[in-house]
Amino acid sequence: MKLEIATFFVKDVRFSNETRYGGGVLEINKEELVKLVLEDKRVLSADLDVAFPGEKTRIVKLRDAVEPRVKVAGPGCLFPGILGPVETVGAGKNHRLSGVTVMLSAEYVPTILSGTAAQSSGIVDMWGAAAQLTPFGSTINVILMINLVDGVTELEAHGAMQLAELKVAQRLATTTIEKAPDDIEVFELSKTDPSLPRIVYVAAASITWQSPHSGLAYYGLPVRESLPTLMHPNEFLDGAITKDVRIGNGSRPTTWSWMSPAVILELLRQHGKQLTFLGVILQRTRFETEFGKQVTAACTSQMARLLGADGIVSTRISTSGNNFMDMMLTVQACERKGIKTVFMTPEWGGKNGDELPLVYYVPEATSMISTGSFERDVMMPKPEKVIGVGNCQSVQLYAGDKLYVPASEFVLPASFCLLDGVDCLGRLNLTCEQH
Amino acid sequence: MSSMAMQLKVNRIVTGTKIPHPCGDPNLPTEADRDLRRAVIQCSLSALQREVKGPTLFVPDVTFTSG
Repeated sequence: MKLEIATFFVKDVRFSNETRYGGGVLEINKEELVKLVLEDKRVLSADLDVAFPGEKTRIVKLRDAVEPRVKVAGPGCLFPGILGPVETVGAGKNHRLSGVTVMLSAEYVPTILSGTAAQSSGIVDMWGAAAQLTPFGSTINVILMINLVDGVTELEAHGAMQLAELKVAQRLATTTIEKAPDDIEVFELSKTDPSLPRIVYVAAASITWQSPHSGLAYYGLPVRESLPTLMHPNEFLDGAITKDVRIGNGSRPTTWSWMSPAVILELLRQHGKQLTFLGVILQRTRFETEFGKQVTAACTSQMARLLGADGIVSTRISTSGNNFMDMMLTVQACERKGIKTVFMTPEWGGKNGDELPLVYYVPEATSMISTGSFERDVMMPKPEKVIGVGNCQSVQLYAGDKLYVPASEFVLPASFCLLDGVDCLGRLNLTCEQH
Repeated sequence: MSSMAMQLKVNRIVTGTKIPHPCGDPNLPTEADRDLRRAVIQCSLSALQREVKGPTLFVPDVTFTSG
């Protein structure tokens, strides 16, 4: 299975009377894209805006972000099971617009008003300290703002918002068809030197079992009572993993992060050089009993052993302490089967870094990488412009939280208030100082 | 999650059903759910009457059927 990814760099985005790409400039016909989104009768109104790195712009009511990508050859489509029929993906050729995202700022009337299944939103600043905590402070962001009609269920709201976002992103990527790319990269798990260390990536996915959407979907199907699933790394690059877009909270990776997964891309690039990449185990975590956690740990470690793994790199999503225990038991089970395991995880640690960084520990976890504490305050200075759907005089990030005034200066209590503000998938953009 | 409680050095730990409902099981018929709840609470009350030296695990005399 060979997947070619052709990259087209975007240096500028402008609104014009035609949607087209050329010379690093993406032009967008706003009316055309609004019309495309309004084809779905569940969408009441739509609008677009654009934000550039460095300008004093704050974007609010964010649910998700996605990279414009389209399949130009090979089986299936981008986002199989959502934008087209279910067909095994991971082969063929994709075009991607690099340096630009489509962001979703959306509103609907929720029916779940409290608890962890309720909708939430995130913020992105295009300048200052907060811009460095998310990938989207350094990309040009096309913000799709939509309102849904009254009377949609929570699951329909997810479906309508996601479809609008993905359709717009795919439309933008189609502007590159039959054009010459700036770069081509080939991803393939070809035969390698048998002496290279054999590595498996365990991508642990925390599941919200009580929610209308479980939080994470495989080929569009929300993952629920599932044991570990073996995946080809290229499937991620084709959008086989997506999220519940009702949840904009930064402890849940965006679709953008799932389709550009840092650890997978690096392991694919090192395949045949430093290591042999055997594949990805997508591990459902956050079981509600210790018994369930032990079972998923046993199953994951056995799957890795059957694959012939010498080593495992693992990550986890969400800041849940519950799912942290599943992962620690998995590290333990893998190490006991003789597989060296590195666990990359965000940590707690409190406001000043002097509180407990981990909620559970096993002696076998001897090799861990912190992707940063998510509990630090984030300074949000006064912006010059606020972008977001509807009335943005005040925003609530999650059910029960206080209101913030986006046009003013304020302090956020944690980086999970920013879209993709927690490094769950190991992009490792943070550093620390010893003192 | 009794091993987490052990690690936190909790003196008396009673094994419950599930994180979202430690003292019952909504999947069971009402009668069986009530018996389960009674057993977990009685186990807790008897644990309170026991002298312990360090973290001690008490397991109710029931079968937990939920995963």
